[in-house]
Amino acid sequence: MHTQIETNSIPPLRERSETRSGAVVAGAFAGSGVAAVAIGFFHVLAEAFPAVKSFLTLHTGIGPYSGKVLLGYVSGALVAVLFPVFVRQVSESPWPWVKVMLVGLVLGTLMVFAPVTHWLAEVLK
Amino acid sequence: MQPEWWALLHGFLATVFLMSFSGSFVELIATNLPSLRRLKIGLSVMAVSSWAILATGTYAYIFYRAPVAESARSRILAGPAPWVHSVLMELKEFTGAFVPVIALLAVLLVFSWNNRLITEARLRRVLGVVMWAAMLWTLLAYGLGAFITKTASI
Repeated sequence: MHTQIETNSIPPLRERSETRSGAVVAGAFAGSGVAAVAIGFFHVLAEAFPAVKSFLTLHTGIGPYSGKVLLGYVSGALVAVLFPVFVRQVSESPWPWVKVMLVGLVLGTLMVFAPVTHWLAEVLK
Repeated sequence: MQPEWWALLHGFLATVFLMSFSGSFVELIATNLPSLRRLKIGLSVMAVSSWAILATGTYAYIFYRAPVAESARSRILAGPAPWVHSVLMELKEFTGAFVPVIALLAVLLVFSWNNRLITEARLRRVLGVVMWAAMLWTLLAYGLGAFITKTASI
């Protein structure tokens, strides 16, 4: 009886492996979108606050671009790595995560488009 | 190596990226075991070339934005169309930085889904969307790069 209850509570190995794989894939999609938004966000912050621009200048030759891109990638990588750790159950369909990535890419692109960047920087100041 | 050579390598690698996209997309349309193997190679070439494009482009960018009167940025800002730097170059340098992430995602997907790509059309469609996203953002950076280079080369 005891053995029966334990067997029922544990999903089959293949199912567990697919759930884990689904969470890894969802995390990668979310991380890609977050990386783009984070790069855009750091770009806007650097435009709004000279101190942030100076902080993001990790390489004098490259300028603040170095910090914006590096920290943007780190943000995306953190989301991609931590997502499967905290989220175990994900939808079977990858389409919601594709939308997350595409929305992130479009938002990130808008945030690095100078007229939008300057408007957002003015709002933040 | 001279800055011009870095810029040339940067553009050449972008062409490699676009070619590997074409090859990979053809393999995605009718996927079987041999084509899945070629798809993995094609997407890996896309990812490696996109990171190499970013590295060479970032190195060439040092010469582009050098704080001297002869640098391309200084010449553009002093010329009749400073918006080429303040709008187009800003857009180009960041949209180009998005592409390696999307290309890396495509590699993760093809190795993660593996044989399921042969049997499940919906996964092939998702991978196709990711590949097209990488392609569109590359074309944006590629086109802007060509226009900026025409205005003032490094």
